[in-house]
Amino acid sequence: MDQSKSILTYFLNYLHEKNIPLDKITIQKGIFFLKEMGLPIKFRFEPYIYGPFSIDLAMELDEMVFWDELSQTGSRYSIKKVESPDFSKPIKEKISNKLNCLEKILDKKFDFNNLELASTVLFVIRALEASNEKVDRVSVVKEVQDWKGNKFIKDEIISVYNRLIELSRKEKCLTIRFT
Amino acid sequence: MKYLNEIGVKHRFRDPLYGYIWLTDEELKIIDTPIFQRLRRVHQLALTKYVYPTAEHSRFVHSLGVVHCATAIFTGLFEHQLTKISTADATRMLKLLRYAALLHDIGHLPFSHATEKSLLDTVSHEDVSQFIIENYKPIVNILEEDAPIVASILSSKVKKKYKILHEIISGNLDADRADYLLRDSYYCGVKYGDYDFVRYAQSFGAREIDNYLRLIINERDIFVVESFLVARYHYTLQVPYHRTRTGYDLSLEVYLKEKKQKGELKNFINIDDFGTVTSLDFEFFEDFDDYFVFEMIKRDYRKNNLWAKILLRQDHLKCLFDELASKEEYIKNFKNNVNLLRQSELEENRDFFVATRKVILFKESSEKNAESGEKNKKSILVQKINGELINISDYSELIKTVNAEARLLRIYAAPDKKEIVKKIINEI
Repeated sequence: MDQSKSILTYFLNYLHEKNIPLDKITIQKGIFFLKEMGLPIKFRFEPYIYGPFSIDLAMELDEMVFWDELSQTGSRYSIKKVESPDFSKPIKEKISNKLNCLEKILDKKFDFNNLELASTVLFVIRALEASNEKVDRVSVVKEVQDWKGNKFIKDEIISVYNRLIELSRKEKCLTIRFT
Repeated sequence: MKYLNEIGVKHRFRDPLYGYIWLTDEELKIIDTPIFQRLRRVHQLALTKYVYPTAEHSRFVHSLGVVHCATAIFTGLFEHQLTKISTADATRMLKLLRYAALLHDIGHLPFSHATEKSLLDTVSHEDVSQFIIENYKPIVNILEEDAPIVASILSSKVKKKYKILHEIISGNLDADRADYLLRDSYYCGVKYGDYDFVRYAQSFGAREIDNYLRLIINERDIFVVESFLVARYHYTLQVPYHRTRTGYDLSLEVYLKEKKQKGELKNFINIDDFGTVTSLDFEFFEDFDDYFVFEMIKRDYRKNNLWAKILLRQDHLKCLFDELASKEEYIKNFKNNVNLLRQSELEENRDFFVATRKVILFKESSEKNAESGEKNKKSILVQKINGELINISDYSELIKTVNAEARLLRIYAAPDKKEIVKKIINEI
């Protein structure tokens, strides 16, 4: 099993244990955050309808359904016989730490809107960093609104932005490059 | 030529598909860098030449072709009667697009995709390309402050403003695929990927609907898109996923993985915890081409390395199960065979190999309802004569009829394990 699949498997088991439904959006955005927090995940994410989305990840989930590891009803998966990856203790601790960060990023709210907004804000920060542009409240709000129109109000965007900045500065959950 | 004149093209290259490909001074300077010249020595289709002997073309000519296709698609889009997006910045956008098109494959490893799996851990050739664009001095000196923007257009982390350019290179419009379908077919001597590119490039309009960039075609152009999709489907099955070619890809993967594990291949790239390329040995990379790998293979062949023998075409993996299946009974049979092999003493990826791949006519079907039950907003729209807009997958009878997905299901055996694998498979 390659690293990306191992981490995905670990994440699916984590959601299952926490009684969080294995919806496509939860898996997509969760894995996006874990990748951005520094776990070695190969799936590439692109801006999509509800924020960053990875076709590679969708294909991996498809493979897991094909090999009877998961079953799928509509946009929800359930675990059939997913093997637990054999991570060493330090790696388990690292992933566990990132999963704690994920809960903080999402303020423990795994609902559709929150996943979409939080992942879009982080995506926008990364896009600004990639173009060597200024990352601040104003530029992030503008870019999120460019992508999403009026779907989210300014205060909602700022609240997520502030949370990400705090988690980056105080808890080192993420690395955000300020210019 | 309006946009081409505005960006100042001066040089032209002969091309068997498009006649001439026009280039600016800066583009020519990029082409003349050692790292770009290296692409002449990376074959576009890896070992497909063992199936179609004339498939000897390189990533170099393909990259030039993508510049041509991206330009034609961009021009067609910006001049289309259905387009309602700002064209104010068109000349600068085209300049950036052409740089991105030219450099989109700059980070490809020897033998392209087959090598990537073995040698790059958590990154892809796209990540390597971005690193080169932002850090390889001869290119940075030409692109100057545009370097990070060009890199971001090729990455998925693109700003909304440049999303249209990303779409033209590798999204729905896909100049990359537009060129390789025609070029690979031409050089393989097959017709599977052939379609009407000139008409295709002029068929798309674009507009923002619900803050999402949508591509729109006129009802009368539907057959152009349909023929492109059919060409892609047949090409996929007959060229990159040809069963013999897949056997060589699998052998190459094992060969290089073993070389890496034994420390016989230099570590030329560093990747941090975030999956970001942090350094690349440019001097090594400039020389790291198909010929470099073939030199290793030739040496290992003399040492009786099984994979080297296969890669020099003195033996081959035996394909013992090969179906393009959509029916459950075939899939069940395949899975039973695989399970038996996995329960046996045989070693997977040494003694036997399992290769599956979903093959679909229209990419959208895999993305449809991707995250919710909502209709896919990424789909191409068809504008009917009465002005009504409708998703292409709801409009096209061809897509509706043929869009059932199928899977390539294959089992290969190493030459020395053919009989035993066959015996296990035949038990079912």
